[in-house]
Amino acid sequence: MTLKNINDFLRRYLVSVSKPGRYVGGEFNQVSKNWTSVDLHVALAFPDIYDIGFSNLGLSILYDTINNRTDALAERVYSPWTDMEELMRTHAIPLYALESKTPIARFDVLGISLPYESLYTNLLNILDLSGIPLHSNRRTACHPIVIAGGHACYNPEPIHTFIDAFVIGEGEEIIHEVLNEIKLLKSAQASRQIILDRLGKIGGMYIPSFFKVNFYSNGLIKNIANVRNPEDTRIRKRIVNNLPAPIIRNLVPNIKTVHERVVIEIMRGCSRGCRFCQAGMITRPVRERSTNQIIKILKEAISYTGFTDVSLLSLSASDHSQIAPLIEQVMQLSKIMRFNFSLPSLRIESFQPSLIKSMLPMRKGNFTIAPEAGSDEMRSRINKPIPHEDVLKTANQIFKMGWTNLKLYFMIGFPDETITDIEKIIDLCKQIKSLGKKIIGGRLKIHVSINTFIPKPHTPFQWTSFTTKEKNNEKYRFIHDKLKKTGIKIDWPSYENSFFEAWLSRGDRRLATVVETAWKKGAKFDAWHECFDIDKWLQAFNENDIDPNFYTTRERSIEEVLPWDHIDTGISRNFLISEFEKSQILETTQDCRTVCHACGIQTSYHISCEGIRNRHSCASE
Amino acid sequence: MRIRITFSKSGMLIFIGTLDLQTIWERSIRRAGFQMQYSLGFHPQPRIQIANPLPLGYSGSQEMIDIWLLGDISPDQLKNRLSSQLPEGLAIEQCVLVNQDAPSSVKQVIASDYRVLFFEEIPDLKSLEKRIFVLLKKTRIIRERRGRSYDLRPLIHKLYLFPNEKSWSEIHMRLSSSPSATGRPDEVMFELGYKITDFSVERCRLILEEEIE
Repeated sequence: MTLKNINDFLRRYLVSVSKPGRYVGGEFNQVSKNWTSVDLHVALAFPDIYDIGFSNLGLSILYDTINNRTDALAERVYSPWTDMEELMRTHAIPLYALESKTPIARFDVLGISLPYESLYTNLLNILDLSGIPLHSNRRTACHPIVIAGGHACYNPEPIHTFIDAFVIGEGEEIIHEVLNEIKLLKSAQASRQIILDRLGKIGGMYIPSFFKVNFYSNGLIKNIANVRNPEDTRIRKRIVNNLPAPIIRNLVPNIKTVHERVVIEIMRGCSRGCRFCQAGMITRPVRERSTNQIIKILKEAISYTGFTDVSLLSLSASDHSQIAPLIEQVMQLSKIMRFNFSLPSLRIESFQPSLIKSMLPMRKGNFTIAPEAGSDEMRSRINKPIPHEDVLKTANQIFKMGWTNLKLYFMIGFPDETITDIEKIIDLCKQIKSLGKKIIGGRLKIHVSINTFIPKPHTPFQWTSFTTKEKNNEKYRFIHDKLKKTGIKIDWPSYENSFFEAWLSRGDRRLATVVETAWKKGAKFDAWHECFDIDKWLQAFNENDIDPNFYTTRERSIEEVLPWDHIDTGISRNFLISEFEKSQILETTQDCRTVCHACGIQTSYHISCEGIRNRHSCASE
Repeated sequence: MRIRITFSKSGMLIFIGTLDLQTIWERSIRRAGFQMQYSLGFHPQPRIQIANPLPLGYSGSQEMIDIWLLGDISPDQLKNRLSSQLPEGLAIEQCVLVNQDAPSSVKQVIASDYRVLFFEEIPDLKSLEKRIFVLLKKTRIIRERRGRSYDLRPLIHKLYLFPNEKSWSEIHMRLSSSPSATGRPDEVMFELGYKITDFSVERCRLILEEEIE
């Protein structure tokens, strides 16, 4: 298939699919390099549709970073929606990159972003549509090296056979090491094995084919061994000591996408230590950007993109040491440069009066707070110890400032959850409702979102079990009945969705055949309600004689070898165990800015958290 | 000040619809550093008006848009600065100053000229010629679009085969383009027995009220 053919195909047939603008590229700030002018060609894939993948920050950073090199180019590819896939398959059109319309199979590297697990079948579909063999060991010198990264890769095992190499951790620096190596070896016409061998020597690169996992007959893991380099038993995630300067020339979409805005990461990592939160554990240590840098980048990014919305990204924005002055400055700028501004992820306990005052002009739309649990006991257990009165006080302040729509986030299915914990969710909702009614009156809208807790790898709760359908639905029904007549809107995902996410995030190598079978049965776009079909997955489990409950509702002992044990986040196992034990006796762990709990991150990376946190103040100004 | 921009839309940008195109113009103007006038009201919107929406998949060589800006800018200055801020496929042909209270271009457009090109050679031109002749002879052509039936015939002003430099022909047509009565070239082509993937359409010109001969 030549480039001309792909272009001719698009011109002729694209009118017959929905939203054809997804498949043509050509956005402002797109980088189009001459194919033959560079040594390395990287296709960056997000395995969901353009509308979803377009604004992915990780891929945007890599796109920018790679295209800044004179010896490489990066182009983008997303999953085609079902109508386009059908059209492409009918006309034997391979998956191509948006910039040059070059078939993906012709690139040197295919980099795939996997921020969450429900993209796995789409990943297989992307490989298949590109004409790349699904299994790493079937690929030859003429196929791209398939590299995956992103948060889901902290347990890479369920997709180990489809990926040549995983990047564990932050990609900004390692990408250069990887590309330099590949460039060198490609020019020397090294074999695929040699390339993987060399990539495996880069810290943070995990080559699954170099590891052997031995199982007991009951399905538990006996051991995980590096057969290539026996002494390298664990892959330690990569971190960058300095957050690299954010992107200024963001791509500007030509069609509507889910997020069309300037996104500036103001802080990476979180010091709170909520025990259920995987992001909080795997993104340590905390690194902040300075207010000056944020404001400078913001101005430039707005003028280079023309966007009218701005979002300041972090796991916990209100923990930024300069958050109040920062918001004030962004507010002032928003009036001059005419943009809207949103700040996700504010924490209840950090609602200082100055912060609230600075947010006054933002008073529109929804305000979201996440108590996560209903009772003080449970909030201690999960280490989000916000006293009941503080939740009420915050809600009170939010209403007094004039917000009328409040969204509350809770989770159910935590370890050792009792009916009292559930009742307290109901009580809290009712109390907040009556508070709001007094202040706001009839315009008050309360929206409660309840998710099912999934014990994620690398968290203190990684050994606990995922709740059963019976218990889960019983609790939901109970909450629903009690809140039915209050006018509070409740939503929750189906148990099946969480169940699915639970086995994929907690699975081992044996799950790869299940993923492949499910995909062969037609599973794709599993993150989409209208596409997700649990039956295809359960059949896939059944055909491979594997029980999904083995990965989900089964409790694991502390001694068990976990499928992700060879992936090292820099957090010590002892810290996770100690946090797990503290949770059982309702003991909390303070924010580690106040006191260090020796989670291991400082010794793993030979850093001082204190020193790295505000390093920008000497580095970038 | 109000400026009327004549522009072309081509390449892969033809797959971007009119609503999205409006956003593209707004962002391009912001990037070029011009301040737009905003509508009054609870949700102020930048003042910008596309004369006539170009259907998805059509290219356009003389499309028109009016924009309202704050300050004093010469049309040439606007053309220069804005041109470098446009995405691939969008190009400014001309910028002219328009009286603030001149009539809306939306109301002025009454018809459009289109050029229809075939992706493959037409095996029997004689038969096509005959079908066009028969179609034009009809007094009514009742068609259904989005669940509503309408008469296509009065919307067709001109329709003819046009020999081009290649070995096969193209079809030229002039159809009504007023907000209340818009004829679509693809509907004419369907009536002539073609499918949406058989041909491409270029809108060559918008015809304003005062120009009608």
